[in-house]
Amino acid sequence: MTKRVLTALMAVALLCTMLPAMALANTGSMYVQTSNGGSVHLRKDPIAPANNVLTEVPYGAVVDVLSYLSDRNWAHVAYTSGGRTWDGYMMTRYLVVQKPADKPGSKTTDNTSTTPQMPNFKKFQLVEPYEVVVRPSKPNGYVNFRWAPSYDCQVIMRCYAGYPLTVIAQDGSWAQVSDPQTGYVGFMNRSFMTTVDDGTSVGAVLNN
Amino acid sequence: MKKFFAVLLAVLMLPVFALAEEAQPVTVKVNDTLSLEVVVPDGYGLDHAWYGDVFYGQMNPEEEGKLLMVLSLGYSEEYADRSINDLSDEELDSLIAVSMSDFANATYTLSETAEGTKLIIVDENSEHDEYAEVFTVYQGYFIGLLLEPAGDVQVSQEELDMAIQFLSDMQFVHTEA
Repeated sequence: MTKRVLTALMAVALLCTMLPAMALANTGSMYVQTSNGGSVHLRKDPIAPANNVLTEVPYGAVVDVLSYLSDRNWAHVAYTSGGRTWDGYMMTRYLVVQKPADKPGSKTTDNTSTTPQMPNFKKFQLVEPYEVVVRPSKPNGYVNFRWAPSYDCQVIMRCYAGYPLTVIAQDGSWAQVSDPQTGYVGFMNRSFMTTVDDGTSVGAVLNN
Repeated sequence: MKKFFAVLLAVLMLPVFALAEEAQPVTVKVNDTLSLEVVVPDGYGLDHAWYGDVFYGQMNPEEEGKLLMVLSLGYSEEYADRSINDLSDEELDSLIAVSMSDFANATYTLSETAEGTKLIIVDENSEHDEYAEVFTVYQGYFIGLLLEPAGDVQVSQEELDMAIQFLSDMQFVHTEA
């Protein structure tokens, strides 16, 4: 299954060259979101790690995205707090269009249960197909693409950050998605994907 | 007498074979400021790629039926410049929760490298999927090592030891930007 990892990465890299128009998406106000509720460095230059931190921008704060660098890993942003405005660079992976939920708690996990979670298709509704890209919770991560909408259902493949998919049906938590590259249809938890209108994730797709 | 020379020759050749079989470190560039020195386990080949600013190293077994390993490494502003051993208990709990997200019936254990860097070993035990992943944070980089057995079997202790040894041997080599 993970033997497809590098193949998929290469395929996405090729796809990158086909999506130049999307690179212009989403300047304006965006929110800071991190997996652990921590803050993000606003840096003088688009380099990390480096001794170039201007200030820390807390979880949920609003920044004004002025532009994206050509590699799409970084955004040029302005951040105002306490009557002062900083102008600098921030990693795009921490910027989202929608206001994030409250800070993640420190609860260890609630998915250690050994009770099987049965897939539930009843609440699924067909939707006008729309494009999404994968947004893992971990900086290095992947998201499992499953046969059915349950963590207990088999993983078909693993999709890495920025991998493009098409949503064809959804309920509150899961989406039924198709993979235009392999033709597979499966399910992915909606918390690990974002629409391509979100400039940050489009950036991830465009990066190579 | 011939036997004596044969034995002597065999003894003399032993260190040569031992040297030939000792895995040598391989240096791979992660970004403009960081390279990794890794010791690829015997019987494995290393392919690597970048996806955005995330580095992926896939260690493919030369023989079928052996464990597949995928190293991934990305700089994280959430843990900027810190390592897992610098985190508070609350931050470590948060990191464990993040590490276990998108697993089904996972359990975790804490281990450490030879140098004492903490490792979070997440083991998936669902009915259909048997795999494990070792996570850590080092100098601001979020590191994962995915371990996937070839068949529907659990990752063995021997394979886990190999993964921990791989992470213990891994060296960060910093260069000027």
